[in-house]
Amino acid sequence: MPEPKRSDVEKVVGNALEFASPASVIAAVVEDRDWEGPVTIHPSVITLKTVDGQQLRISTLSSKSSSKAELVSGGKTVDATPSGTFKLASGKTLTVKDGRLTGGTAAAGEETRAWAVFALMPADRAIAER
Amino acid sequence: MQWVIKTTKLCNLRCKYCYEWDHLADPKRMSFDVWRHALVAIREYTELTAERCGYQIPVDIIWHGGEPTLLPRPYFEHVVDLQQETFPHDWIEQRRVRNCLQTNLFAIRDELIDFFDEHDFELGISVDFSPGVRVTAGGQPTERAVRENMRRLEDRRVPFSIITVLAGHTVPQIERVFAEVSEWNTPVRLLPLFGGPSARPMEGVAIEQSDILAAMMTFFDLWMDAGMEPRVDPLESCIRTVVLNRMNLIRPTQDRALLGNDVLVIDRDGTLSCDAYREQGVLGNLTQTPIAEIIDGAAYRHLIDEETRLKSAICGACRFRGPCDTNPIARNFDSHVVQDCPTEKYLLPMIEERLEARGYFDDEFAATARALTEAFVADVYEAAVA
Repeated sequence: MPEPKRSDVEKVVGNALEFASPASVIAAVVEDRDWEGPVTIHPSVITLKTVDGQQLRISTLSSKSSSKAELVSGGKTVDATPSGTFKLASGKTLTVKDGRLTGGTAAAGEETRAWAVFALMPADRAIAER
Repeated sequence: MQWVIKTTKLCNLRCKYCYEWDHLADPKRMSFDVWRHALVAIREYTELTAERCGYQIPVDIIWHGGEPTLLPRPYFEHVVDLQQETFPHDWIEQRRVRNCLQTNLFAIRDELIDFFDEHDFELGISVDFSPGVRVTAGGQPTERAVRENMRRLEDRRVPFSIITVLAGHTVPQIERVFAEVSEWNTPVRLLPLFGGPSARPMEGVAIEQSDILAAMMTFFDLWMDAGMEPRVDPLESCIRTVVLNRMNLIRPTQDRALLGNDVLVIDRDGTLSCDAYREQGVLGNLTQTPIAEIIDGAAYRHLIDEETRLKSAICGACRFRGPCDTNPIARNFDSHVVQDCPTEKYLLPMIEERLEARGYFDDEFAATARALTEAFVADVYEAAVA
């Protein structure tokens, strides 16, 4: 088997990230995840701008705790336990409940948008006939 | 989000595996009145998604059949006019609404190619590159004519993708299928053989699922060797799932309760379903009931409950759940028949094994993934990372 080019690995990782839940991607960066391999990861703080001008700061209290979101303005916390769906750049959304990242969407519909997924092949009529 | 519109079931071919086999001589087409109701429903559903779930979905209107290119050009013109009357101007201007058309491309008139070119239609072409199954009503082969018509589209720069069915005629020829697909260099979907009415003449078509999966893996190896070009569904999506799993990341779970329908089908009489012909898949009729009432109604609730039960039974023990969004269950119609995830569940471990053997998950993988994730958050989410 040939070794993959580094660019091939980067291609599949970059492509996968496009479709990951924003909550899981962001949490992976700020949390000390058990990534496979010998890499030591240090917790980070991420500040996200929403499309309507709000700022969400995502951080961890310790390297092993789950991530926490707060609404900030001018570096100060204005809501320590926000809830709602926040629209980020590129159309992705992040869902937060009481300051915890709970979900969100990758850009909706993107996965099939550029595709000919048009053929529908239902089968259940065969069941009725069996 | 794809809205598959069954414009007509009339067809000039008799592909042996066609699930519309019993209806291919029926000339009834979707009326403009039903189109009007359908387009209003599509607009309202799109608005509801934004209202209830907070995100803007793109709208793909899939002209489907039968063979929709048998419809006359004035029919297409009138429907495009209706679209312009129904959808907000900016949706059309910004290509949030897109027309796509699924065709066998056996006999396409210049006037329609002109029309598709003028109105930015994208075409999906059903072509198997192996003779004997996709034949005319008189039993004649179609492959040569289809290839010539694909060249006409290429010359006109009308974009198209390919759907190739993996069955008894294509599986033994999978290397040649890959060579053809590779030559056209346009996105392709590999579609495993599916169920359908018992009247279908299945000789030369039927094949074991294990043989289909083996052919997909042969195709995978050839495709990887060729640098993962062109785009291939579902192989790309499977790689994504395997890589996300390795990175401990997940996708948003497919959930019809959050209006996460990849595809809904509208039949010629306005019947809305999650797919055609599945009894519990029929959700209502758009000429009689507004879409908001349908998705808040008992049939839609039943669909969600039934699919949730199925996913729980099938996906519960799957180690790819999370990175896999469970959409293969919703999208694969045979999952309801065989009560299984007939493709992805079996492909994913094989693809993971191949990627491992090819050295994708070597010692540098974690560092590469980490660096790319941080860069992604900074660039795509426009985030400041400290």
